[in-house]
Amino acid sequence: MSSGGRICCVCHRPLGDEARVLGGRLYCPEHYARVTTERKSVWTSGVIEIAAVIAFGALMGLVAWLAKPRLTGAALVGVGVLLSLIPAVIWMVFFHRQDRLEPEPKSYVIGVFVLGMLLCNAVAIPVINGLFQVNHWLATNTLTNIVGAVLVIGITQEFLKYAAVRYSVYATPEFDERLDGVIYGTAAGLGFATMLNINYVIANGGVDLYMGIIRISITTLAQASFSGITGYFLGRAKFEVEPVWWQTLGVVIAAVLNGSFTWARGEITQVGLGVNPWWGLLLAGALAATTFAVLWYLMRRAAALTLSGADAGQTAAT
Amino acid sequence: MAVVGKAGAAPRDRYAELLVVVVVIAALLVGWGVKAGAEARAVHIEDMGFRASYGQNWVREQPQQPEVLKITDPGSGARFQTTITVSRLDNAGPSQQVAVSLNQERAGDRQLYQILNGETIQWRGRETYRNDFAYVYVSPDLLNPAVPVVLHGVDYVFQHGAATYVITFLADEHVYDQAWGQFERFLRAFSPV
Repeated sequence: MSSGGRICCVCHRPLGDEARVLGGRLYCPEHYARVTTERKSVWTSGVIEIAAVIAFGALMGLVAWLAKPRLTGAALVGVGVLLSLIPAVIWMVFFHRQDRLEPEPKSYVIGVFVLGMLLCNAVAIPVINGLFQVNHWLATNTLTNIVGAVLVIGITQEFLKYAAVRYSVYATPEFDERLDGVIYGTAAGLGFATMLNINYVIANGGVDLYMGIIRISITTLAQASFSGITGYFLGRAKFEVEPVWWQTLGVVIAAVLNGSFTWARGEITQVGLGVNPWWGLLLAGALAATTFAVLWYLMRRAAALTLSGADAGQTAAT
Repeated sequence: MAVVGKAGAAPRDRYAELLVVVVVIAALLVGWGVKAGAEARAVHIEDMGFRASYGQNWVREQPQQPEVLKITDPGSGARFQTTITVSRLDNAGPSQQVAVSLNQERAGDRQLYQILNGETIQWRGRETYRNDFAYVYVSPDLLNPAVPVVLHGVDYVFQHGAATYVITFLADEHVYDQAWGQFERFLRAFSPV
């Protein structure tokens, strides 16, 4: 049985008559089955994670607001850094729970998370705050604020999160389902958010705990949502033949959402010259829930189309 | 439909990758243009222990100790020009105590000085004391007397390390609401180093 130069687009094994076709790409039977699998536990864990991060922000924020702990100096910085890590810990707990049911290579997921952190600290923060110095000019007027937030903050952050997935796990056989795009994209976003939060705490010499806790939750929900979108586009790009502009569209949509969110959060949390962070948490919660629901719908639709579509289950005749 | 394995998909994927990079570079270049445009309309300060920026139409005045920065808006009226000052005090104590001292000092040398409100708020993650006040401003120029003006002001008092910063906004009550946006923009761009 000759493969005729045809290989599985995931594991690169030569294919014979058993070759299956999906979205114009060739698969071995094993990877065809994986690509079309629906993983309910991932979505369930996702819903619980979003709820847990919102609950963490709301409850701990409330406790800090009521208790008004008086911390200063190194203690305040230390507590702030520890709090910055909690959303990532919540994610790891739920990821571990989901992973027992449908395993994903932990080293890759953790690796992408760490890569997100590194790219944030080594590239994103120096570019946005150092090279572009956005704090100096972004607030000049509303138009500058929105356009600048999209073109500088949004594009830089979303490209780096895209790169954390695209130039690491994407090319490996472990990236073997469309949903992996969302899983690894979210991991990159969470790593990014963790580093942004740690950096914010350290740069400000510690933060007020009430405001800091809510801010940490907001950043986590938002960053994970944006990169989940980019991940969806990456997942589709790997397993279907999409237009050349497909991945770019993913990064641009995520960047526009990122920049718009950055501006909107500033506007709605501002009360006079004070800040009411609860509106920000509400906005981030709504963003995460909506993004999650849309991705869930798109993934289900893609799976349904695959299974009922013209080329579903076909063996490749060519 | 064309059916492709990895080998067939590779050139298309490379173009897709390249397009992402090209669009990102293009967006950042446009972003640089937006930055340059915004900066051309603003003056930036970095060498005074804090970063701040203000509109190019504002005028920088000679500050008086403990002020380190004083700017005024010449287009805000003939009787009193909207003013923003930044003062830095070393080892001055808690923010609220600094605000009380300021109020006592002003009550002694300004006419009909009234404290309108005082409260601790959260501003950019910091505990900040906000002090709203008003008084009657009488022009000191005896050769060109003018009708006194009611001024409305607000102080933002917060600590950064050992220093206490006081950012004060002062405007004729008739233009106060109108000028508020400029103060907001100043505050958003302000950050101690």
